[in-house]
Parts: sequence; C-alpha cells; structure tokens
Amino acid sequence: MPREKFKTLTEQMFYILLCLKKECYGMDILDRVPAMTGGRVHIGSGTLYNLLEQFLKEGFICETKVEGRRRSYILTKSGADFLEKEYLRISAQARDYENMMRKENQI
Amino acid sequence: MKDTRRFFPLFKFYAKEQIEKYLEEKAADGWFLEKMEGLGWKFRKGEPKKLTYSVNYFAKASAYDPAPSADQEAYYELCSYAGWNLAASNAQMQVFCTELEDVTPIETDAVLEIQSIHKSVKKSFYPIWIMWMILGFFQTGLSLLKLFGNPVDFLSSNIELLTLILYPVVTAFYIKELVGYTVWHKKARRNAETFGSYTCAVGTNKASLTVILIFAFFFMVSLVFSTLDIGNTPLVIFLMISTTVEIVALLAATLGVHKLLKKQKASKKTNLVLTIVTASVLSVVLTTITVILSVILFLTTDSIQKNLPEPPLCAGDIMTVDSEDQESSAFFDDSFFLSKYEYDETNMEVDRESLSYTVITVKADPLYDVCVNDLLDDINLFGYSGERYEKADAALFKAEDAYILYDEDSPENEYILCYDKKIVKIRFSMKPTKEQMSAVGEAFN
Repeated sequence: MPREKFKTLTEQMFYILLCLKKECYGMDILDRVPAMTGGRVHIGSGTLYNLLEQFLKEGFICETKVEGRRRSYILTKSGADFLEKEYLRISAQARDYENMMRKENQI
Repeated sequence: MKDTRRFFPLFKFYAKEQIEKYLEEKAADGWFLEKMEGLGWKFRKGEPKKLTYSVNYFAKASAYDPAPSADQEAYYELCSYAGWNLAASNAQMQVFCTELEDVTPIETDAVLEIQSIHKSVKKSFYPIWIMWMILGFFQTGLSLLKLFGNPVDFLSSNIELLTLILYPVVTAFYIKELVGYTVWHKKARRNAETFGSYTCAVGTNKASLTVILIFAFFFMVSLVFSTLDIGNTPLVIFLMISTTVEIVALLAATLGVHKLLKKQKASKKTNLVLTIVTASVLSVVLTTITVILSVILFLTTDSIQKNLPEPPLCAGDIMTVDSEDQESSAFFDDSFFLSKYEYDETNMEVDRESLSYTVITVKADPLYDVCVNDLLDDINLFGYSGERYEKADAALFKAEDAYILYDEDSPENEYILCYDKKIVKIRFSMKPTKEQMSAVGEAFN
C-alpha cells in the first residue's frame, strides 16, 4: 500500500522532497540534488519521473506549471509534514549513534 | 550498401542488459537502431560510434497508443535533459542512447525499476501467456476425452495423434515462459529490496521459435502422409497451400490494420477494438472461403478420398445383387497404430441387399483389446439400454472370437469378429446363412 511504501524514505526520495520546498522544474532537480549533496546522491531521470508520479498521487507535491513537456512542482503541506517526520527520524538516529559511540569512548 | 536493414535478435522482453549490449555492439559496427515495430528491428547505417544504450520500461504506454501521451513526453524531456536521447520505442519498451561518458543512468532505484518491468510484463505478456495456457489445456483435455471415448477413431487418425502431442507442448511452453519470468522476478525483487541491486534476466526466444518451426514441419509431413493414404493429393496440397496463405494473410492484414490506425492517430480504444475485430472476422471469412473452395473444386464424388484400397468384401460376393442398383462408399484412415476402413453398400431399391462393415487393422498388439472393447461399448446411444453383445459361434466365421448384437431379446444382424490383428464389425441386411458367414471369414482371414 502506498502509505507503507513511504514508511522510510530512500535518500533519493528525501532529496526530491527537499528540493521542492521551493517551486522547481522536474529537470532542475536532476542538477540540484548532486549539487547539494556534493555529488553523493544522483537521481536517474526515469527514477525521478516515477517518484514525482508517486508523490503526486500521495499528495506530497502538486504540479504548479505545465509548459509543453516541462512541468514544475512544489511541496504541499502534507509533503512538508512527511519530510519533517523523516528528518526527525534520522536526527534521532544520528543522536543515538553519537550517544552510543561516545559512551564507548568514555569507557 | 543499403541505408537501412532489419535484424531479428529475438531477445526476451525483459532481458535488458543483453539488449543494451547488443545495440552497443551494433553501434560500434555502424548500425543504429531506428525502429522496433513490425517484423524485426530496423537499423540505419552510419559512422561507427561508441554509444551507451539504456533499455527502460514505461508501464503506462500501450501498443495501441496513437502517439506518446503527455506523461510519456514529460518523461522523455527529463531523460533528454539528463543526456539520454530516445532511439526507438515499442509499446512499453523505451530505448535511449547517449554519446556522453559518465552520465547518470536513467534508473537509479532498483526496486522502482523492477516494478516498472513487472507492470509492463503483466500488461503485454500475461494475457497472451495465460490465454495460450488455457487454450492448450482445454484442447489437451478435449483430445484426451476423444482418445478415451473413441480410441478406434482417435488412434487411426494421424491428425488427432498430432494434436494430442501439439497442445500439451504449447501449454508446457507458455507455462515455462510464465514460470521463468516469475522466478526471475521474485529473486530480482528480493535482491533489489535487500541489496539495492539485482541480476538482469538473460534469454532469447530462439529456442521457442525453433520448436514452433519443428512442429510446423511435422504437421506438414503428417499431412503429406495422409495424402498418400487417401490418394487425393490435389485436395491435400490445396489445403496445405490455403492454410499457409490464410495464416500469412491473417497476420499481414491484422498488423496492417493496426499500423494504419496508428498512423491515422486513431484512439487507443478504437485501434484495439478494430484490430481484434479484423482478426476475428477475417479468420472466419478465410476459413469459410477455403471450405467452400475445397467443396467446389474437389468434392466431385461422394467420397473425397480417391485410390482407396479395394474392399475386401462386397455385397455381391455373398448374395445376388443387381449391380446397377448398388451404391457404395468407403472411408479409410491410417496411422502408426491402427488403420480403419469403413465400407457401406446399399441397394437404392431394396434394403435386403445392403452390407456395411468396419475393418480395424491393429499394428500395435497391446491396442487389440482396447479396440475390441471400444466396439463392444459402442451401443446404447442416447440413453437407450436395451442393446448388448452376446458371444457368437466364431468358427462359422472362421474367426478367433465373435459377438452378436441383441436388442432386448431379439438378435440383430450385426456382429463383431476377431481375427489375428484384425477386428471386423459387420452388419448384414438379413440374417446371414452359414455359407455367407464362411465367405465373410474367407474374405477377412
């Protein structure tokens, strides 16, 4: 089910939603994500197309402009909430990591 | 040298990497994929180039789309922006290529990619595979029913025997395709979800094409052997040619209509409906024409068989008949296991000078008892229950065993006679005399 599909986001999903905080063409996402991650994360055009479709269906993003073959999107409130939830989850993970590792060092 | 030519790679639909490698090798030889529709793939000649190809699956596309949908165009735009140009497409399969080195692949998420492949295979192949499996299964069942219901008729016919082999093979083949895909899909999906990568499927349809051609060959050969039996060579040659012409015409017309509608930008629904209607109507029409032509051209006598064997026994051999009033017809069917000869002679004026019989020559000994039992069971049709066979005096007929048919308490003039390797079911128009029985024995022994 779609809800379960997005229980935890992959990195690619995360960065697409992040990019769309500001209205943005689909194709610009292809450049921005590698730029903002220092080349760590690349998104394939086919994968991007798929994910944009899924996010549209879930209501996490909405289409703002259609200019011929180019489309632009923006994050919705529901999408922003979802992204925030994911951020809190990975922050918690990071904290748990630090606690665990620091504890070990102290010992 | 010609500008374009067609190649026939016959790769499996979802053997992505194999197809990519093939296209890259062709590009290195100067052949560039241009079109994937119709028979084979069309390539255009050019300067050899080092290209990278990417085969992808756009699940929403359909073979009946007049043109790529708006969504599909948006997808192409994204790929083009990333450096991938569309080389050719066919239904869900989209082939891109790029000259650039170090370009991000079109699919970077294995799980999503496998989902796209699966949706495409379900759309394009499941209906075909399942339809053939059901058809093959049904026809096999019908064949088996015929075999066990009427073993004599079934085993004496080469065509029936061939369909008994053919349909299970067809069913098994499509089961193999479905199972092969499902096994690969499950493993690939599991690997993609766990490790983020999967092994691409490999395979071609060459083996299947070979099997089909071998069967077509054996089918033609068995038809040829049938003509040697019945001697009506012109009819069978006509049927062979007309069947081939029918199949070719049907395929050409259906594909032609499909392509034409696409060119005319007919809607997906219109294209699908009209293509199916064309195929159905045309197959009925062509079959009807073939049947009518066969009748007009070849059925000049009562029997379509010529050069039949001489009847071992005629009515005139055992009684006095006015040969001018006698009409006879015969039918012969022969196979590896049995041969069946049916003879029917009637007097147009007077029924008492009629004679009819069936001679079964058993070539495989174990089938003897099966045939005798088939004949003994061939009574009490349409729910009637008064008929039965009783033992008769075989010596009178010079036979090893004999049976006489009884209807309630009165004996009929119908007998089953068992000889060495031969079984005869014979019906006399009047109660046969001892001399007549002896003559029959002489004829068949």
